[in-house]
Amino acid sequence: MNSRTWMVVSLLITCLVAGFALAEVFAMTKPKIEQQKIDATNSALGQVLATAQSFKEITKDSLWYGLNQSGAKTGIVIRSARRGYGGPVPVLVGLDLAGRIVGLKVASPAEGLKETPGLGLKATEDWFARQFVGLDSAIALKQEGGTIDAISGATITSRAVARGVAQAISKYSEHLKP
Amino acid sequence: MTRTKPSRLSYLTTGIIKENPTLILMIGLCPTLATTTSARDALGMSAAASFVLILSNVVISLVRKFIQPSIRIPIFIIIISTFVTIIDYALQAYQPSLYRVLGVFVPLIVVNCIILGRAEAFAYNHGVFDSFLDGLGNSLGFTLLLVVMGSVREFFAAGTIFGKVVTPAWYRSAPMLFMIFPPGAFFLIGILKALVIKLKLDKG
Amino acid sequence: MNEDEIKVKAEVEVKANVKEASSPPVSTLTLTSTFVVSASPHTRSPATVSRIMWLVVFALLPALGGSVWFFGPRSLLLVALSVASSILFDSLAQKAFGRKPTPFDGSAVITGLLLAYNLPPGVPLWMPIIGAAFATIVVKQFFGGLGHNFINPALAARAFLMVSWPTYMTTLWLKPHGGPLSGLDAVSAATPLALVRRAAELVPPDMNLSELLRQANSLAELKRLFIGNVGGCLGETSALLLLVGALFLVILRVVDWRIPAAYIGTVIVLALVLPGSHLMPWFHVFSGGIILGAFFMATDYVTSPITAKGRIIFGVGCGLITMLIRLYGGYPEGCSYSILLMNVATPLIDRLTRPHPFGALRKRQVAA
Repeated sequence: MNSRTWMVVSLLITCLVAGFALAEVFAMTKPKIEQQKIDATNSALGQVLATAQSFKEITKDSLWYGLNQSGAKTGIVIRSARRGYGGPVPVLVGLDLAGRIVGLKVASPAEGLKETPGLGLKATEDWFARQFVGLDSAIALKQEGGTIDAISGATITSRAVARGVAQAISKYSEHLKP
Repeated sequence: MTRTKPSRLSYLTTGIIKENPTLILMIGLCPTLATTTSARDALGMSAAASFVLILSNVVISLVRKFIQPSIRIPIFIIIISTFVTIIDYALQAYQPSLYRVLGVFVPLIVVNCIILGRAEAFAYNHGVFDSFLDGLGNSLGFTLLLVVMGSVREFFAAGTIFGKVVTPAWYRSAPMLFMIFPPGAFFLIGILKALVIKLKLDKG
Repeated sequence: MNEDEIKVKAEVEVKANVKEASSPPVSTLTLTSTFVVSASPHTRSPATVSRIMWLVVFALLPALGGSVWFFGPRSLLLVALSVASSILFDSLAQKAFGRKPTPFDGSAVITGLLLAYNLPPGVPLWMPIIGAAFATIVVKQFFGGLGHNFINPALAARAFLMVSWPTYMTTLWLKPHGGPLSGLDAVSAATPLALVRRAAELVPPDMNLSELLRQANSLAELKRLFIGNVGGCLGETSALLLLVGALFLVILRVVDWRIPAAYIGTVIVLALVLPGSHLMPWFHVFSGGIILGAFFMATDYVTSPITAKGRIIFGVGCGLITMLIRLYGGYPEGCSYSILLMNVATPLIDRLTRPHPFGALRKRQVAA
């Protein structure tokens, strides 16, 4: 075999071997990867709507029904995101059937939050999210006529969370009837 | 004058300190600066890169006789990217939380200068076992630096190391966040580099 | 005169230069002294650097007095801590790196003063100490000491404190003696700069936005901003007292008028033309750190261009970045970041504006 042919053949062989190896690994890990994604979503949903045993996705990545053991609806979870300081601030809002907030989770940096450490990132802290629990309307920061204390030095992020929650509530009230 | 062949052991050790890929040769700086915001992330990144580095070194050394010089770089890249894709899938499947943090930096291992550099400079003209040792040594050097940087940055910016609380509560209520930002990484690697030069000068 | 004589003279000069280059303190002196007199960079006495530094310190003192008057003795304490720790860390670092400690050349005092002037008066007492350590050890001595730092140490320390403890650096304002924090009786919870972008949020219930802006643009507010009984960083609030010191330095030609003039001029023009600017140009000039920055920090010899044209470019750049950050950025104040960014651009500006030797042909002329 002359050197030019060998050049082509060796490259071909390398590609084939690499391709088959990757196909094999892909097939092996695919179910596991999908399971991980579902687990991650379910655990996040469970955190904001503790009364539900399982979740049914109604709109992809933005609306879920929480179901109890007998399959009856116990509440809904809505995902919304408004622009903060570094990018969108995704929030998961859990609502009971009366439309009250029962849980709120601001995405962590690993889930795509891009706020500044020490300022906007404090939106993920417990005390901030807890302020929203029990409310059903008029979600706004104190300086905008609402009841929510803004994180000091991070008004933009605080406002993004508040508006995200307000948007979620106003948009999906028709899903709350049992 | 005859040049003595370097000993097996030296293949392993040069990569750790004397020719530390990041601190002495100054290659592979992108992941070093970007993924060392905490000790755990740094360790995850260096483990992933080490896996690729050692295996690509071994495989390239195995098949080096069949690779023509003119097409060696494309073949290196195919081999390296295969391992990177494998580690990418594996992380997604078994370490999803780490994967979310490392994010884009895992695919970027493909173009990590250290890996292509070792393939080109060492594995392409050394035996399998020697290449394995070289890959292992360089991996250890890379890991050492990343974990040191990750620990120092996490210590200052969060008051913890590997998530373990090591500072009093008053410090953690207002830690030095500077270290978690990119300038902190630049200043830290500058300081480490200066220390290494100082040690070298003192040794003569 | 015959040729041999000239040659001998030339050799003597070369030797003198070599001697200068081999001893760092002398060579930095030469650099610095270029700004004082526009003569050739020949050796000056070592007293010159100190003299300039102490003159700057002296020029900064009126503002210190003002700060004590407005914010109470706490500002004196913060300044004292900052200056003392600057001198201490500077000398310790010099000793550690095998240089001769120069605690009283005045440069560390200036760094300490400027650092304290850039802190909110309510910050905890450890902050000026940490800031001084960063300014002198990391920014100044790590890069080679006086004359070798690539950015202004005091401003770098401010930026460092800003990213490390953002809450302290943006909220711990003190109400000044004889006036509300913002200078407006209607708004009590924010510094004047907050009005630039967040005026709409700060409108009190019994007032509308245009009324608030009218007050902010009123002569009474101008008077307060100029005298300095408004909230803000420790040493930046009183434009009057800073200008007294600045005028003194400009008259003695310790600082060049070009950088401050270009800086402030750019701010005025941009305040008039940029969309989203609701406040009068003078509001922008006298609020925040522009006067302090333009006269005392942007003019730092080591980190600003040496050519006249370069200084104009430098000042315009500072003004542009300051206004962009104030009007569209995430921080209320962009003064320190604008000067730091232009510091980094200084070598480039110097290269671009290098003057041509007398009689030399320019590239274009050669080509023609």
